[in-house]
Amino acid sequence: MQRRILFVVSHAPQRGALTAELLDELLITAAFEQKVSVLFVGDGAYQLVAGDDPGTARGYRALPTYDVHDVFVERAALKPRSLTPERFVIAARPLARPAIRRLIGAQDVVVPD
Amino acid sequence: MNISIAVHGDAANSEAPVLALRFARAAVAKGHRIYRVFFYHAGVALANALTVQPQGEVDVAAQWAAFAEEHDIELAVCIAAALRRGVLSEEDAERYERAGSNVRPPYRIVGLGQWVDAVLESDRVVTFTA
Repeated sequence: MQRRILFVVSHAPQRGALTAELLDELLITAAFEQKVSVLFVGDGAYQLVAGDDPGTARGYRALPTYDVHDVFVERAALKPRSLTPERFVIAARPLARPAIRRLIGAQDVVVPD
Repeated sequence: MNISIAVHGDAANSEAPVLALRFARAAVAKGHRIYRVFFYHAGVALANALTVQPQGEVDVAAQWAAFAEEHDIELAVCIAAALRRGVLSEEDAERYERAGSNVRPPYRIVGLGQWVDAVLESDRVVTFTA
């Protein structure tokens, strides 16, 4: 049975081992061949630039290898943080709030970080 | 309903274990079944048998242990997160040549795959973040 599982990442990176543990959780869930998506909201959007941490960038770049292609970022999180999708370590589709609501509504399980 | 619970915070720095226990008690009282409780991130500290609560303070780790034994609920603790935070089973203490082990039963050290299993087998999954 394949389940739709959405990880909602709201914390910035560089919090000790927490980012590595989040990536472990993401990749292991995907390795069980579930329908995994990831949504970065608020400060979580900083994870997508991960400039100072090659391990984090490498982890996120591995997502497509695990068949995770649905990566989203809260559109409203970008401008206040001077973030632009060109700087992201992986492609993330900006979503407006109503689309986020629909995305969450379509899941079997939502896992916050 | 089959419910699994993730606890991401410890008792010293967050309300996560207290709120999760309150939720679990309410769920059991309503006739639901707790499939598994998974302690991740700082939450693994609840399994540490060496913590001592000052008198008069609530020992939520002990409350979780008693609740789990009473209702036959599995308290699963992520091995990788536990090793990072010095929570070691006898097997891990031997393997990594540490002076002793400190896992309080009925907490049990398991792999992260047990969390994915809980996500797949439960009707509802509720996470208590730090």
